[in-house]
Amino acid sequence: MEYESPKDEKTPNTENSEENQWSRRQFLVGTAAIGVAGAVTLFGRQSLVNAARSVFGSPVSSGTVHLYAYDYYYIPNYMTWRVGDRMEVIFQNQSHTHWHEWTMGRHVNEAYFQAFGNLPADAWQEDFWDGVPVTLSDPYGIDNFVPNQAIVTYVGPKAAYNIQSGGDFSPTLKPGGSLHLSFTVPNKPGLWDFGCFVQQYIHYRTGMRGQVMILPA
Amino acid sequence: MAHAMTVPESGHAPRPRKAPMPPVLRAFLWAAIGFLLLNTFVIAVDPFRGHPFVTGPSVVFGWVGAAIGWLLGIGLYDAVLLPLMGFPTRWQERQQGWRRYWEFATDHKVIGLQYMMFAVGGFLIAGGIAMLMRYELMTPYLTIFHYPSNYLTAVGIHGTLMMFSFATVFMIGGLGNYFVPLMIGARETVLSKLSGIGVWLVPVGILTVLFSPLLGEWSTGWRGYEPLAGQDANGILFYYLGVLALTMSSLIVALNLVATVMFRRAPGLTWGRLPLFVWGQVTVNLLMLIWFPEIQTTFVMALLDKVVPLNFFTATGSPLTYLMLFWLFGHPEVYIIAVPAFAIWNEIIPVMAQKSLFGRQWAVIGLVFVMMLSGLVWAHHMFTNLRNSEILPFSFFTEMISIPTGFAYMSAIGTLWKSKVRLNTPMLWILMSMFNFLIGGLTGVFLADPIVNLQLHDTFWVVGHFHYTIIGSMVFSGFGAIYYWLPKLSGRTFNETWGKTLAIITFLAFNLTFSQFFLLGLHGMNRWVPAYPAYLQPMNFEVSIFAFILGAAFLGNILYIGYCWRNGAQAGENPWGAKTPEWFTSSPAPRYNFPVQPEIVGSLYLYGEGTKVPVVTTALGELAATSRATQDPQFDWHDYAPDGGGVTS
Repeated sequence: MEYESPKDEKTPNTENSEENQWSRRQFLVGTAAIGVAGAVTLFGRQSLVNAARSVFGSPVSSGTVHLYAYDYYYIPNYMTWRVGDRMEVIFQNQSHTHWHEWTMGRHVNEAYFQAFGNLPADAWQEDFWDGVPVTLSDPYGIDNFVPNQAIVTYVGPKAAYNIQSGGDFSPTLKPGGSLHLSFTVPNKPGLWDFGCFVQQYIHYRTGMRGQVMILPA
Repeated sequence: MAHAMTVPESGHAPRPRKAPMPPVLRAFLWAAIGFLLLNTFVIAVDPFRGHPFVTGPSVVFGWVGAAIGWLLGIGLYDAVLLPLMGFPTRWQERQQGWRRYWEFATDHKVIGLQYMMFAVGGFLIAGGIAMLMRYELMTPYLTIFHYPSNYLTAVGIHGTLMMFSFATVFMIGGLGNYFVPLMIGARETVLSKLSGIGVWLVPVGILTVLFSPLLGEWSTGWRGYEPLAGQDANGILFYYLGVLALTMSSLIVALNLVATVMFRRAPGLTWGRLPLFVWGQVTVNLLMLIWFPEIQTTFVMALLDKVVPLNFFTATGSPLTYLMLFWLFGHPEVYIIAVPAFAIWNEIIPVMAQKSLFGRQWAVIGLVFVMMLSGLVWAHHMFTNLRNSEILPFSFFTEMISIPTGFAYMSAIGTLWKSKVRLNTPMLWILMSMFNFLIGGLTGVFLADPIVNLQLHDTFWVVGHFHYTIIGSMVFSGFGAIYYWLPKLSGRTFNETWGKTLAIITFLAFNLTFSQFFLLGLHGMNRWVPAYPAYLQPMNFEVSIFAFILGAAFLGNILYIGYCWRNGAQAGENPWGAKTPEWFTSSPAPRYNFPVQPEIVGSLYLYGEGTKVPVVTTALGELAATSRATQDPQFDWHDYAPDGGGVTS
């Protein structure tokens, strides 16, 4: 055989003569690929998720939907609704230690998020719940509730809701609290943001936010 | 994908063999499997509402699975587990070639270089993040970081990686593993397999901390402060876990090196003759053996605080306890970083001056007393939380610690006094290190004063102070040591003009950056803020420019050392005329360091007329501490069976 000739025995790469040889190319390509995958996960997660959603879409939720608040994220943090569907959102605060709220709207003026500047009093320029009829029921562990411009029907004694004024439509729950919100998805199609602005927006800044895509009827 | 390799077997191979997967890739694969197994198990038994696939508790267990999978994949399975269980193994330690640095090894020199390699990786990542921080601070408002919490996470990753994967690792895991056995005339370390496994925890720790933002932001910096961490998202979990891996690796180094120095010293190498660098390593290894278990316990408690949750350190528990427990470790940690630098000064200066080390005993006593006092000063990090009566003893001990630190300076200056020192690149780095640490130390005396401390707390003065002490001592001395030992590490040397030029640029950029931190601090620049009052912008802007130059200078040095490692001129066997044992073997040293067991017959630090060569290579096989034979290159731990193997010479 050719490779037994003395010429080939003296192959310049002495590494090859060793036992248990693993491939240099596999090593370089493999580690580089892991490095790229790591960088993409670290910096490009959201773009990847958005791209996947725009390609594959996202299932429409209707009927009863659970929305859980943790420190500092929502599960789910993305939903698709359809105009005219009847929804019942059961909002539950799963944190053991933190108060959490659910506000929904558009456009936060992020220029105000500075150490030396003003923090905005009203977070959303546009409140999703303006003029929307919504029925609240089964209140438990409610810290406060701000109806803002929503048309609210309360089931049971109003005292349990601790109704306050000022700011967006926002149920704020104590740790372990929960609330049912029943409504028909209003004719406000498009992408809406939701978030928790508790503790001077720290929750929101730390990532406690999500999106609702509302499809036309 | 096992693609067809060139098949070198020429018929005498017993069976066709598939080319094995590169250990690093197998480790990643097994880590992913380990993560999925444990994470899925935890999700199955402890589901969260809404059924997310990764939760706080599940990621903790998944991480443990990943770390175990990683270690098994890198070589623990083939090289340790199979033989331990009595199964045949294909593992065989590679004796040469670059591949041995990317798999499990037991040669302390390979392990030392692996530690240096990973530490430099951590330094470059953390340094890159520092550049982003300085870019952000060029303007008084947020630019590249969207929210303050993003910036704080970056600060935390920078500090954590610098402290636990570079400053603690480079000189101890890296230079310590490489040179301590050589300098005591040992032919290998005591716990070589454990050491070979431990080094692979460093990449685990670096990657864990680096990828912490995947779980959410954390705002505590490298200290993981509770109860502040209780406000953080789950990113803090990867801080605790990553630091656990990194400190575990360093703990293994400490155990191995202390045992090696105790049991493997060459005949004649008494404790009184122990090289200064080895003394430095022993003292900090003892500090690590004392304090690392303490901080690991604290981090595990903090982790449980978060995932269970328990209430050790939250407002329900005792918030100050965490601070106390952290700094009980945290201040010794500073000396774990700095003491090897003090030791290296007095290692290199007598060689470059060719003059006997002045007050050698005092230099050693200084190292040991710094080590002991370092455990008595922790509360000076918390003066703002204490009452005056509690502050005073800590203020006293803090100022006291400058006395044994001064011994290192005394020996160095005494040796330099009236000497004809060779002002070459390693020497230049050492002198720069001494200058920088002096500035760091003197600004520390201000901070030790309670009244001043209360004003300067949490300002850039403090940031300037600890960068002068840490970079000033450890990084500058580290570069000095690498240039000094480059002929030993690679058999090659560097060009003095290039070496000195790079050293001077680094020194200037360093001082122009960090000396202005003191001024910024006095003018009211706070730590931990990405946005600051506009009047501080001009100085911050130019500090950032110098910081970028500093970053480039460090990178330039690393690249230049790498270049010389491969392409430098051939160096002599003992180019500096040193007397310590590492220079009495070929460069780089062979697998078992010395062809025969060397013997130490004189002081390693005496120069001048009438002094003799302290290292002789006799045929004696005895060590100072044991009488086991180690001349056999096939030596393994079975020789240490209680019956002794009967090979003592």
